[in-house]
Amino acid sequence: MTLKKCLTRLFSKLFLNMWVIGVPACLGTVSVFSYTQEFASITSEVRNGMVSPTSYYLANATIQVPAMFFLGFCALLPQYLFVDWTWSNIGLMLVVYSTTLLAFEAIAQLIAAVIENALLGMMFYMNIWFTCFLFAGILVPVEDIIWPLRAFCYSFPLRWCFRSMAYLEFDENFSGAEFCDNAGEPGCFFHYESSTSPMLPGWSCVNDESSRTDAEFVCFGKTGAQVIDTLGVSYSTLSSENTVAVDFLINAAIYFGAKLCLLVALHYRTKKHANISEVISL
Amino acid sequence: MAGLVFTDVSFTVSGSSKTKKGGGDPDDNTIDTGSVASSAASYVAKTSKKKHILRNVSGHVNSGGVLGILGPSGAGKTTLLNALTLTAFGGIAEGLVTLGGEPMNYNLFQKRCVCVEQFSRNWEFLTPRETVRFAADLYLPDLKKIERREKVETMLEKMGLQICADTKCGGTLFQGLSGGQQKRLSLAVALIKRPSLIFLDEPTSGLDAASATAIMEFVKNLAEVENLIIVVTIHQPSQKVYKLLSSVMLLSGGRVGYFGTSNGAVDYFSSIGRELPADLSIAEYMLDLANAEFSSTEDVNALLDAWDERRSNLTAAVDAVAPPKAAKVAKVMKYAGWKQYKTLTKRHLKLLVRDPLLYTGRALTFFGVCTFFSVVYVATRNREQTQVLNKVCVVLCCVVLCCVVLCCVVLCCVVLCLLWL
Repeated sequence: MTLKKCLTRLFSKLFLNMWVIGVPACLGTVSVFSYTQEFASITSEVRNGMVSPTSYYLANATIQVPAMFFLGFCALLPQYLFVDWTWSNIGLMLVVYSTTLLAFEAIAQLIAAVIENALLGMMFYMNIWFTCFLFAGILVPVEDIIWPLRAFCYSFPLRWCFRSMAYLEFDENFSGAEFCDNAGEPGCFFHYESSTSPMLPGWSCVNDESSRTDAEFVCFGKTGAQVIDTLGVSYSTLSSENTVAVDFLINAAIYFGAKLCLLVALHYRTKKHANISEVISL
Repeated sequence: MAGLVFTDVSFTVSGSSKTKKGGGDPDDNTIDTGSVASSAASYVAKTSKKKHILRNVSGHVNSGGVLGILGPSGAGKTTLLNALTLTAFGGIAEGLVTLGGEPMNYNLFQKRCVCVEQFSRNWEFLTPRETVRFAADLYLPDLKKIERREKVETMLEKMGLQICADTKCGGTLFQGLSGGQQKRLSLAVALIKRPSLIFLDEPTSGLDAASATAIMEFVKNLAEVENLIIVVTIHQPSQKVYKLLSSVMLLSGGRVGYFGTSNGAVDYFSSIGRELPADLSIAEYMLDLANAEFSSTEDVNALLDAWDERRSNLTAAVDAVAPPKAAKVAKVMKYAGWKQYKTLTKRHLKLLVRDPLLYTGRALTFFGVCTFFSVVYVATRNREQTQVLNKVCVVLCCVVLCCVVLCCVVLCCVVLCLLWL
């Protein structure tokens, strides 16, 4: 029995329903407000010659990086305490997670620097957030999205974070499944290296639950890699391939890209002035 | 002239509108610049128009003087202030502005001027003492620390802020200083720079009569003692406040109705047949005369035309005074990037600890929300086949919901702000 026979796209539908309800409830939750206030003060200070935008930018970045790691730690700690996430990966998990938070923070700052009205900025951020979510490779498979929209899948941080987090979390064996080597044995699943050669060992679910029908029970795999590859059949973003470094670098690049744009925007905004032209008579 | 001189300052905004052929615009401030596009088949022509928000506004103020710009709503007070502070966007500003004989530009403004905005932008979670200290550290990096501290204490005392020196400023999230204290603090920050020229946008608005008078008395003394040039816009001054101004400019519809000493206004209006009624103060009377909404347009135009006639004499008088070259330039802040960086890092670290909106509140919220989800999905502790999808869900929640929560606190703050305002 191959995987494709026992898994359906049911999960996509479930997730879609969940977020169609969930995301509108989150409308308006935008972190642009405080930055809008802060940039207004900084603009005034720059204009009056108190500070330079570059000094402020560097000071802000110096504080922001450790602060976001602290926020990331606060968010992840309960998962390790209560849900027993894989402790050995906590360092990498924190790096990946905090980098994503940093990327979002930099995007929020950029929006606040460009859009001076806090409410408009918050709405714009909300749209960005939802776009990130939509193109994270969970709600819609990446390969189903047409170009140029598919570019969003590669340019927002959520997809990369989710991929790495899933990889780091699905790192241990799961109970309820055993290894099996016989590809012809009923109930023995395996992934394919290529279209014809199976990756051995495979796995089978041999406990009592295996007596249930496929519609009620899906056998995902024994190892974390098998489980994540099984999930990857429905969510192509997920894979047992270790992409943590790449994902981190992509999100770091998004962060630095947004920060670079922020620097330009800050300089433009704070130094914008309307020189009076020296025309005495009209 | 070692002061601020502005000559023929105009501000024009352009726009286009569709008008019927042959139609005119009754607005005096609007002039047609010609039909730019018209279709033979159409009875509607697109007309490019220029609207003069300010027209040929001239004035001057010397060191030690306080110029009050008065006028009803829509008179162009803020636009004039914006033009003088180089922040008149969305149109074309023309004219000549000089400070101590030097043409006003962005660098000169940064070095020698300060603009105190109508709504204070003091850091909410810093105390006045900290605010002025940081300002001193940033504006005067070359002074010794002990000297800076002395200056800060002197400034706090001078501004009457000693009593609230260690109270957080407050603002949108909580009530801290009063409106008058906030404005005095903004002034203290401005003065630490030791500028030559201070622009104050509506320093008395939102204050009771006693506070408004106190602020303006302070401003007048400041100008005299520190030999500063101060330009203020005032919407509706009381008689007491009016008397504290050394010179006044009355604006209406972007034009000048009077410019001269505050004492000379009564005589001037008498000379053009507008005697001051016994039951009115001169400030009220001037605003009544200039208000086109409650006076007849003809009367207001006559008032403005009368000033235009007098104006040529005044301009000649100003021109006769040759501005000395390189008038004494106030001490200028030296750019000290590293020191600025250190001071700003220190200031924002302090804000980080105190301001729940930025990080601390979010950290607590993150922890709370993620604890909630981990408890909801506590069954995923067991690495079983049946928990695989739940584990995916909890990872997804962690990623997505924290991004949402990043902003959740902010939304609450916006609502609080709206309620507070």
